[in-house]
Amino acid sequence: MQRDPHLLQEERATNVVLIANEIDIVSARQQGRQMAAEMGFTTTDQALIATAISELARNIIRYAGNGEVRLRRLAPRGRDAIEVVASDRGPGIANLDEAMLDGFTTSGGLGLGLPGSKRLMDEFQVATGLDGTTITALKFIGRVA
Amino acid sequence: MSNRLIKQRDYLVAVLDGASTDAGLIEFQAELSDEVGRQRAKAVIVDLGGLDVIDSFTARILSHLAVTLRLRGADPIMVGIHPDVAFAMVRQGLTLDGVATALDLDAGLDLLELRKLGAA
Amino acid sequence: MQTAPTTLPANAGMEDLWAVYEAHYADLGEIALSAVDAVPELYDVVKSLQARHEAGQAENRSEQTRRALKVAMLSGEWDAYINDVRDTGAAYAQAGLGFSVWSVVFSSFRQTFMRYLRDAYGNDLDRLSGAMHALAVFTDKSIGAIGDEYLRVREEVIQRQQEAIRELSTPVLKVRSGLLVLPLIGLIDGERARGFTARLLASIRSERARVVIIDLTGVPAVDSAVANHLVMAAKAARLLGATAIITGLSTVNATTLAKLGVDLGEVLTVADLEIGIEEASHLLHAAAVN
Repeated sequence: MQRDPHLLQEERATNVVLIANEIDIVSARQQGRQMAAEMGFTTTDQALIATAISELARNIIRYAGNGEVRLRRLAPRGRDAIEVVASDRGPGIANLDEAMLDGFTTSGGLGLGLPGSKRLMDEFQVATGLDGTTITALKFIGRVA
Repeated sequence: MSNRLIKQRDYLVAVLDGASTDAGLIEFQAELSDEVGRQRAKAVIVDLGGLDVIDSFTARILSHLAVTLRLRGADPIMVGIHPDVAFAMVRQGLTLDGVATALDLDAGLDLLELRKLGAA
Repeated sequence: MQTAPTTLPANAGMEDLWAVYEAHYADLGEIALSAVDAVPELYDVVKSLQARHEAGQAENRSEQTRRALKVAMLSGEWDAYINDVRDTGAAYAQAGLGFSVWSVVFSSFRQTFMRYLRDAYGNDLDRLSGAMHALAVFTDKSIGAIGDEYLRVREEVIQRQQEAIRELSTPVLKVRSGLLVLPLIGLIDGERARGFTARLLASIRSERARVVIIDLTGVPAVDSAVANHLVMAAKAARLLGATAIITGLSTVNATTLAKLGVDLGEVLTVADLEIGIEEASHLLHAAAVN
């Protein structure tokens, strides 16, 4: 993979997808998949990224009504990565610890699918409070730590 | 919103659309359930080939669909899951345990034929 | 990789060095280029890299380096310059230029520079000695940074090669129509497991396999993490309509798993590969359409 020294630390443009209804979920994950494809992610990784975006966008609609998903190409510590930031001004996640618990079952009750989407990405951070929630997830190309 | 119901070799096939809304799916589920009753179908093939992504929400809907169909006396067979989607599903812990599966529509139809012959 | 902090107190030697460098900047740049002419290998690489930059960009680059170097030599903050040199080193390392070529370039550069220093400060031995010391620090830092990049790039290449080897060592074999065997060998980590699972699933689809055997005969250590990966692979295979059979789990490993409380669940396990293939044949026969 050739690096252009001059563009190494530069960020590319950010894709912002406004999430207001279910069609936007489709749009967000398609854009995510496309960006990942352009960056050279394998099709398997593209599916993981698209799924995580879908999960996060769904949460926005269900629990906040609307919000946005931002997609960005980064190269932190010299490795290419895609960053997904899902944010909303909803009521926040009441019990974050509980929401991040495993023990998820397909026939199970309500859940935010957070532990699942965490497992799809390489880095996953949740910031939540009464004024909203921002989830930042990152996936690196190629080898995973 | 273009989930559709078709017939293949005398079997009922529900083809799901990846761009369908949740409401659309619920509506389709009702339609499917009615049709199963009307035709006294013993099995339904659910074709998931059109789903580019299966997240926890979708998996929950599929589980629900399977239960509904069984309650109406039809065994659901889920087919057409793309390898990458299957990989993403198990990574999230969504395994659709307890629901019969087959590679695609043809494989699903073969499975049903075998059952008819009493071999599977 | 740990590198030494690169902020040094400014000293007179560096200032003197910069004065001479600035005065002869174009000349010294030429040295590097004439060294290029002398080494054909270097020439091709430079040409191919330059072809990728527009003329305007190349000039800005040179200005950028010059400014960074001035800041480094006059205020002792080397970070910007070092990053610049690293980028250059990385580009040439990836282009396949041998590292030894750099010592030729630096040697040539140093000799010419020392001549200029003697011309400028020859009548003041202390000053000359200070400037020559600064020159040594400057060239050491530069070639050190380039060396670091070469190491890093080489490591990346090795990792890629290892990945390729890993892929070759876990082939998915088609034993007969509808039956695939995945013989695993060696230590299984998350990275490998994800790799062979993705490949297994792709093969299930392309070969329309209905049974897959994952053979562990060649895997010495099976702990709960490995068992987890295997269960995931089996569940994913099931989503594609294929039944997975695990074979070759040694008595030692089976006991370990039992002690750890690991249950492979509904994943079918069979003592050895032969029995596994027999079992698979039964499953397939039952499913064969005449």
